[in-house]
Amino acid sequence: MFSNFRPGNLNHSIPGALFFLFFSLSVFQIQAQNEFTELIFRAAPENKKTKYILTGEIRNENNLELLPGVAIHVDGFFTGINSDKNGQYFILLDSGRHRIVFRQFGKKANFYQIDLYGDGVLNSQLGSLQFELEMFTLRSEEKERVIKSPITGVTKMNIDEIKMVPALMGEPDVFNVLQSMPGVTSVGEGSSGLNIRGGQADQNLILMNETIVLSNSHALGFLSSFNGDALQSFSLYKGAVPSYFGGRSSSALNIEMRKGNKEKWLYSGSLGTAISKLMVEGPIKPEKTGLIAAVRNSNANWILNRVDEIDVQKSQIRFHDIYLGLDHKFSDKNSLELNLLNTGDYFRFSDQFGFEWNNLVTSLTSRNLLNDNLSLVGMAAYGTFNNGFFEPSGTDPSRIDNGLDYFQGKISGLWTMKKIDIVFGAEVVQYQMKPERLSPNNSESGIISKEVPKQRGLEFAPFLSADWNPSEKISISAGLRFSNYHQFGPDSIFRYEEGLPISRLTIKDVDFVESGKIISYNGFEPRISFRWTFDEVNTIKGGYSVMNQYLQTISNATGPSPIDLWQLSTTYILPQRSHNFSLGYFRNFKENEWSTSLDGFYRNTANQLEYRDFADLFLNQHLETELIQGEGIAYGAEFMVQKNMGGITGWLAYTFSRSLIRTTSEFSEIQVNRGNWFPTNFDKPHIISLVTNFHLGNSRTFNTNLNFSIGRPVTGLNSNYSLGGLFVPNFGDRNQFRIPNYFRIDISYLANGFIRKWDDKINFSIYNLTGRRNAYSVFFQREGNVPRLVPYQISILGAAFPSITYTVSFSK
Amino acid sequence: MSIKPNILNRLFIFMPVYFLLLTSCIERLDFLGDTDEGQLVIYGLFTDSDEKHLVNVSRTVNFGFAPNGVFNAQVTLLTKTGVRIPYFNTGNGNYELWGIQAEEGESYALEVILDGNTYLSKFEKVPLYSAEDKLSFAFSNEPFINNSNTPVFSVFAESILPETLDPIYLRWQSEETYLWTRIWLPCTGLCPPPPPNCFISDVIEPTRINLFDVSGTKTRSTTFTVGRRFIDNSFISTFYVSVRQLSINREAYEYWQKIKIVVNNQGSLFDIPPAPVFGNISNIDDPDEIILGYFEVAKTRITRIKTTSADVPFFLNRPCEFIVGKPAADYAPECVKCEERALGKKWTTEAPDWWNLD
Repeated sequence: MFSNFRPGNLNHSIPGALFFLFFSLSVFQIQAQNEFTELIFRAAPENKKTKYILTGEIRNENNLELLPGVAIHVDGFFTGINSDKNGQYFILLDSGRHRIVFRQFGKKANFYQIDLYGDGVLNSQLGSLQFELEMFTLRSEEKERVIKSPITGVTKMNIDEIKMVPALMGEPDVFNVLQSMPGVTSVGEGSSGLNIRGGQADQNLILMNETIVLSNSHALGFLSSFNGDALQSFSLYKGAVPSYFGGRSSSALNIEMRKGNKEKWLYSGSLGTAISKLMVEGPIKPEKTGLIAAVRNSNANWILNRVDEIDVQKSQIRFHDIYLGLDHKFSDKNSLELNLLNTGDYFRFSDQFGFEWNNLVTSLTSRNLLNDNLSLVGMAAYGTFNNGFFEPSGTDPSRIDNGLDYFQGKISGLWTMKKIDIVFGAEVVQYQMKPERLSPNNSESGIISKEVPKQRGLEFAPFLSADWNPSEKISISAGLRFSNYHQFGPDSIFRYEEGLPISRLTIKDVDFVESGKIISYNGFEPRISFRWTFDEVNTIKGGYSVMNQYLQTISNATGPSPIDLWQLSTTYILPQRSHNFSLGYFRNFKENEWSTSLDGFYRNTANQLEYRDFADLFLNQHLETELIQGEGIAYGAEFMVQKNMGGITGWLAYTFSRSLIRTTSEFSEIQVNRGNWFPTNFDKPHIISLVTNFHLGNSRTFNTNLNFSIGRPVTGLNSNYSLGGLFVPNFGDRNQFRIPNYFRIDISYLANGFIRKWDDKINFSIYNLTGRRNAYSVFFQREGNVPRLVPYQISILGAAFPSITYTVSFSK
Repeated sequence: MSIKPNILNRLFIFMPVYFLLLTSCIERLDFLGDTDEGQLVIYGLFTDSDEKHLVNVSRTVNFGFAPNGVFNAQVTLLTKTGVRIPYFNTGNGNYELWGIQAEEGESYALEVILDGNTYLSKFEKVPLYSAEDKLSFAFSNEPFINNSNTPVFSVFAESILPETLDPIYLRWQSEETYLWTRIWLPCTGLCPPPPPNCFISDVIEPTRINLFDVSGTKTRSTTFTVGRRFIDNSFISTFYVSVRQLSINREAYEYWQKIKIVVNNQGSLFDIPPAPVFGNISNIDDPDEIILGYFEVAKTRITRIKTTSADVPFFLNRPCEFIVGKPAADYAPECVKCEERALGKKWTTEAPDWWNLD
């Protein structure tokens, strides 16, 4: 059965012609006129040379923050050199006249004409892009970075670009944008977490300003926890992850939050159909101390009240997030930042069950420039989150709570030399899982409170990384991380019968360890990637990285959910270790107006977690009896075409990706699918996305987002039988069938200046324009009195979902 | 301050669309698929009550239809002391045993010999405790199956559990039995006697699996909905609900928990992923053969409640009332034959032993 669900049936024709039509239009082209600032650098007559050094620092014009990653163009060509993490650059040029341009994505480029007859210092400040004009060249630097960056499989975007991808509730969202990029998908709507290059959601390291954020979504995963008002940009490392990131086995996503304006106070407020927001930023001490505070709150319950279903009407959903950023500049070389993110969610389905979770992440970061070549960044962070699952009614209303506290410390240094940048440092994270508690949900409940203690662990990893640019054509990034993990007491270590599978029936003893080390794991994690640019527009990149993971989520739901329990490695739950390979070809066309890429990847992961049938995970002191570990592989290729300039911009991405797993127990009775390879829950072999942005002029854009993917695997019906009048489905091997294919179109219209004389914006968006009922999963039910079970599909979003958000900003 | 007219126009265009609302939905998929056929299913229940004990032996069929009964099996009840008691083949895959009842604390197993293979269950122990059930019912107008209000009959139970530290695992089954009076046309002369009444029985809401265990709770009283059904003309005479409480052992309870998961799987985000449910029966000659079903033993207690049309606050259609001058052929078939009324449900023309005893 289900033959029409199998991969390969790409029944939905994708309007490729439409894409090329969009991209072949080149209306509204505007050529910006650039003015060059002329400068002369002279040396003393006795110091005449054929080459001179040009150096300097580049800052953000708005808040005078140093800007890393600014591309330096000389005489019309990108040099392959970017400003370093301290915003500084260093370049050796022939004596004579040169045209220097500093460019960064989302910033207005600065143009200089210099006569270089001596070493020179050229500092520059880049202002933000003006919406009306520069929108048309937003992506040009980005595309060049794709060609020149030594690290393969990196996706970077800033908030201006994120805003132009239509999203649910009209809210600019990192996770939504990422799912339109090649290699990124999710189990389905309403499922939290991302699956990147065939990896599980918990195999992604998600950071906010390099601080670990474990709980990062709202509304059961429809929205990320990162407020677009306070968001600066993100970087996703899905190929070779640099050695200064670690702890997960698939990818790293670092989300940079904005710093407060140090010159003037800005206020903005948004009122939307489902979300309201407030944001304030400004100088507490002009040019020294900046503050940014952003609050977001849901107001979606009125929507639930209008749904024609009693259970939904009786349901409740609410969430909020608060971001606070404070940064103080002691001098040009020393600064201190405080970041705080607090999120909270509550979801109750009728009077049947509910979830609530909250999260607090706070960090203090010190940035110190010790000399022109050496800088240090130190960061201390604390995070905590609490999950609750409750049953509000029934015989014994109850709730189960769990959570995790963690302390993170990281120090990293950057030593810049002429052709080599070296990053070194160490990171330590201490995890303390909170006890899992069962308690009565009201005074009449007879539930006897119960508590299951949880584990404590420490992860420590020194790292070293070097970016070497021997020539403009070649760059190499190599690094090494040595991760160490220790589980500490107190904890109960269960002992099992020899020669039998681990199960609660084979427990023979238990050792309680009050304190001290229980188990340790460690491993070297080499990381290397290279770039070879054999002319200005053709580049080949490759990478290899090894990553260890000592913390994973435990959940037996259909897909990952925000309340999944994070579980440390223990004596029986072994750390995951992945080997990642990546190789890609990149080419730009028409002076970078178009860029293309073809990127292949392969990952092998040892000890990937899988669940035994009907795993009982709640209040289980010996979780290992419900789990089974195995070997995971993921492989595929990503193809992308981007149009970076013109009246219409956007990209088309196609991903072929497989994600498979097999369990590797020596005991056949606990093997899943008899130890054969089978697709993971998120294995989607074909994924296509098309994002188009029509720049209509006068600060208006019309945007579309089209998504298609093969349906994800599900477990299907093998037969059915009767037990005393009850029809029972007999399910077959795990994940052997597929739900119907997924297809969705979203649109949005963004306009500035809705009310005259106000600095305001309006965002109309429709998510799932066609109202297609995309299946989330399939289940089987008896139909009427007919003695057979028939398949039904459930769709999380069964209709078009429109939203309007109005934002107004003030300054003083 | 003025709103730009062109934007305002667009806003009005958007407004009707704006009120399209978020909703999840469930749709039947329009395909029929192959399923495995020939898998053996054995289900048996042996209790301490003085009633017929039933074992059903069947094999699955293709396209997901109801399994076919197996006629040629030899079914035997085994005791720990080595006593073997054969079941009687009553056809359609059913094997019955009567005149014997399970004893508290004793263990029993089931043996099925079929086509040269011997299928044996584990020995299952009869629990010592059961709860006391008190039933009530209600007629209401509320959503059922879909979102529109409809007349619904609901049966509730309050169970009082004994104060003991021993674990108690309970499962409930509910069955309705109603009286259906056939048409008897008055005549003159030598008339046939009025036809006997039909007693029609069926499981109420079979997918509702009520389970309760006392581990982890101080609660010794639980109230729950036994089952719900539409109100129709089944209520025009006497209508009984029989609730059978089964006190089972932990393994059987866990088996039914898994059955409940697969039966009630709605494909939601929070559903536990479905998987095959394995019972306690295996082929001793071929341990790799998967046998579906279960052999369970139980301490049982049956509680009944009765209602009549006088309790029903809704209009009931009475298709079989005598109307002067209406020809016999014009009455609905269900007014003449029990099987036409039962439509596949169990029926008999003999009143059950317990009928009207209260």
